[in-house]
Order: sequence, then structure tokens, then C-alpha cells
Amino acid sequence: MLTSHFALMVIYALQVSLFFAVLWRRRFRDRARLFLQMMAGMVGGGLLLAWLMFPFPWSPPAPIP
Amino acid sequence: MTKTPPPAGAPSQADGFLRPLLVAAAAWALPGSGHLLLRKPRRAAVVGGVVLFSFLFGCWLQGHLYVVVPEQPLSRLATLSSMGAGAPYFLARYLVEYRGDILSSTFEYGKAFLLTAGLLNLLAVLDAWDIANGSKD
Repeated sequence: MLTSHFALMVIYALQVSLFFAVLWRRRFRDRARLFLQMMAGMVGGGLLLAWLMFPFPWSPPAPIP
Repeated sequence: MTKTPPPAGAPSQADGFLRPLLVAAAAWALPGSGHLLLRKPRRAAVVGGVVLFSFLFGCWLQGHLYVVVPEQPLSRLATLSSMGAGAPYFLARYLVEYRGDILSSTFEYGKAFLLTAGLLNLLAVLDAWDIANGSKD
């Protein structure tokens, strides 16, 4: 089973970017550009959010019961 | 004043509505088939491929396939979204009796993929409708 959060995020971003690039653009060049923009937005945005949330929570994690 | 009859071979108003309806129904039932009927094989391959991949990948991750739970109103929306995938949803639910495994560590991820498959296919249905209607190429 694939349990890597990052790999799952990249697979998700790949399929969604491909879908919208093909559905919303007609020329290959425009499709490639939208695909790369969406990939960068989703993967980069996810990494940025992860980095911003890195210090949280302030308190030590609750013990596992 | 007399009305001139439409030229022979011109699509009637009923045909103008029926064709997009049939294409949309096909696009919903079998992902990609709507665009295939519209002779757009590349787009059909991508739409069908992405929707089927997302659905099967979600099942492989043991994600939750939504069904209506009367006590949870939002489950109706989620079920409708999942049903957007068309035949794969009904085959998984009734033929294979797929339920997902809540103990799986990828249960929530799989749920996201299954919901996405349905929602993407619904967007593809709208796209096929627009192309069949003539409002998009």
C-alpha cells in the first residue's frame, strides 16, 4: 500500500492537472502551460502550507492512549 | 403570412435537445464515452483514463465509497458526487459490494480519490453537453 503523503499528493495533482489542461485548453502549448501551472500550484502550495504549519501545535503532542 | 418549412436534413428543435442529452447520459454512464461519441478520441481517452484511474486508485487505497446515511445529511451530497463516476460506482457498490476499509491508513486518501473521480466525470459531462450543444468546440 502506498502510504507516502507526498507521493499521494503528487499523484492527485498529476491527474487533476492533466484533466483540466485537456478539458480547458485546445492547443498543446496552452495545455502544457496550464498543466505545469496547476502542478506547481498544488504541489508547491501543499509544501508551502506544510512549511507554514510546521511549528504547530505549540504544545507537545498528546500521548497516544 | 405562411411559414417556410425547414430545409430537408436540418436538425429539428427536438433533435437539438435530444442529442446533447444522449451524449451527456453516455458521458455520465461510461466515463469518456460522451467525447468519443462527439469524435474527440484524445479528450475521451484522457477523461476516461483519469476518471477510471482515480476511481480504481481510490478503491486500491481502500477509500470510503459513500452511501446515503439518513442521520448525516451531507452524506447525500457526497453520495451524489461519488455517483458522478457512473458505471464504476454502481459496479463497485452492487456487483463487487465494495465498502472500503476504515482501518486502512489510506482510508481518507482513497475517499478523496473516489469523490474526485465522480466530480471530474460530472465536469466532463457538462463539457460534452456544451460540445454537443454547439456552444463549445
